[in-house]
Amino acid sequence: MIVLLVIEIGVVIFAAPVANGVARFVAAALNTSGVASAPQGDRYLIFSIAPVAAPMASNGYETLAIWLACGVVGIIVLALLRPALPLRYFLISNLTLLVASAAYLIIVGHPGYDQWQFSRLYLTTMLTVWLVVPVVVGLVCSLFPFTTVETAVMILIALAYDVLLGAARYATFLWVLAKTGPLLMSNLYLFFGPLLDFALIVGLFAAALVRLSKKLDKHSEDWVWL
Amino acid sequence: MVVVLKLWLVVIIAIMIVYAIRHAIFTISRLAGRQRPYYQDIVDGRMPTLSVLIPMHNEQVVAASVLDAVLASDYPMERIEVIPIDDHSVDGTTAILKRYAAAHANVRPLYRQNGSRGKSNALNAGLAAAVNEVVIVFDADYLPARDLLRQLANAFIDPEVGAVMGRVVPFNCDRNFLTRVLSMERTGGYQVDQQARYNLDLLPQYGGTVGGFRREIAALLGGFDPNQLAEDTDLTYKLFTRGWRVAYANRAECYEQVPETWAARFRQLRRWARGHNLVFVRHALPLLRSDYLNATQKIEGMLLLLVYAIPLLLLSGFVACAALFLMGAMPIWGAAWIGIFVVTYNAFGNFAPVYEIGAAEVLDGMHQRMYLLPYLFFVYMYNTWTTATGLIDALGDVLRRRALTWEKTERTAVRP
Repeated sequence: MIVLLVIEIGVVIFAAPVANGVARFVAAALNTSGVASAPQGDRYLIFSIAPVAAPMASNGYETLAIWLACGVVGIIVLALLRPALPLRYFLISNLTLLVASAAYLIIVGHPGYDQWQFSRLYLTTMLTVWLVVPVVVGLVCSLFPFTTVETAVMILIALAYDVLLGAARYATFLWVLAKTGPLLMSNLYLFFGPLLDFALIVGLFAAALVRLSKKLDKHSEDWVWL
Repeated sequence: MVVVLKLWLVVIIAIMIVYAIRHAIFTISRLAGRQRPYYQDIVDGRMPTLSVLIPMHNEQVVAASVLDAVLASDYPMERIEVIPIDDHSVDGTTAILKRYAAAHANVRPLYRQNGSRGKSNALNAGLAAAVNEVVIVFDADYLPARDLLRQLANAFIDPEVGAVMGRVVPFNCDRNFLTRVLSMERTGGYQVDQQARYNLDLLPQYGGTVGGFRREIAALLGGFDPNQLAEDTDLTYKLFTRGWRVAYANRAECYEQVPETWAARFRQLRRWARGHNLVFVRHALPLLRSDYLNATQKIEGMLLLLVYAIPLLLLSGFVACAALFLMGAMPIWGAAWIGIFVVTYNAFGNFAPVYEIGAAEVLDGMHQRMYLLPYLFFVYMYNTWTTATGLIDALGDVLRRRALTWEKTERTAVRP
């Protein structure tokens, strides 16, 4: 518990500087790829952050109508081709969200978030996930006979991975929006945003459990069978 | 609109936190708590007489295997009658049963060619024909171990026990990704969930196969309702709300074949969701009013009744997130929490979170299978739509008062 508290305090202290470092890296990467961008200062909770401002392509009505039609056709094709059910449902869910986004943009005329607001939403979500990760991983690990060091290492690996994934994804998202416009915004955030972070942390947890399970196998006298 | 959606997200997150705590308690109970012993160490000279019911509909692929396994049991054969129930079979099942009836005096098949088909109807016919004290039920694709009947029967030494449930273990788990995942589900559901509920004196479930019940009680309760697809959960709640207990025998393992195709799994899960939700409609109020259950047991009973609503609840949270995102009003904390729950609750069956499945695999000493845990994320939509379809079916059943038809799970192999 004390280790968890120490790590959490560390995250609170270093989250904003790391997030701003990520933003600077992303801005540099985007500039290199020809997308003019720069971090802009803002605040989130107690943190001073600097989300990256970059241009975003616009989607005309014709483009949106074509995407909407393609999405509907894609859903029908998937229903007819009948690939494996999990893949089918995953793709259909993505296409449904795409169709909903296109319809929303056609009807309302503008996205819910402009480029900078989306960039801010992404950066603050990333920061929130960093704050949540030690608590979630720590609590889950506390259910198992992991040592304090193992728990701490797992939390730190999860955080390190999340920072790297967050940076790479941030750059990719902003580049995609700069090239394709706001249509894909909701798919990027909802399917490849926080969900992906936790899916991969589960993978890390699974690997730790395999190691734990093998370790416990060597101490069979510890087990009482029912 | 935005306020309503945000409030709905808060409600969903609150419910999911309750479920997360529930499963954390189960995991702690199983990993670190005091384990409640079963009755396997009690030796009693007078074991109850058993009627073993095996409903079969077109089971020529597996019929002989299950009968051989039951007849190889170490339970005194003079205290067993085996009643395979041929339920409108049109394949070679009838011929197989006739062969076994001719060879074994205690195999007394029932041949149903009239009336409605379905497991509940078949079990009712079996109940009417059975004469022994305790009824043990197996599905036709199960392979009971030699000592299984003895272990299950031991529980009925306790006069408070109305039913008993053994542990189901898939034998075809190495077939493909789906069977491995289903094997993880079974492990989590029995090794942790059922045993923890037994440890904590909550509500272990009678699962409809690899289990049994007192024949007289089932008769008093009116047998099985043909309009219930989850006749096992229905019996569980009937027993608990009337003061009986269900015992769980973790070591009484029986081997089953899990679906090997996504389509077969879809039909199975849809039927379970439909049946389970119908049980909710029937038993929610009696559960809350029961004089035999304490507050904790009632809360757990409600949470168990609602498990097949969880994926749909999470889907509604996901849809609310999407709507809020499109409107530019996405709550950041809401997105993070929904993300956590969608990912961690992707296991099948009772929608156990990853830590519960992980605990079960650790207890079973399974190593490599645990690497599959993160992939469960990709079947989230599949689970959601499957159980949502079952929920819609159940709503249709209630509103239109329609009669139910039983759909059998496809079998594809005979032996492990």
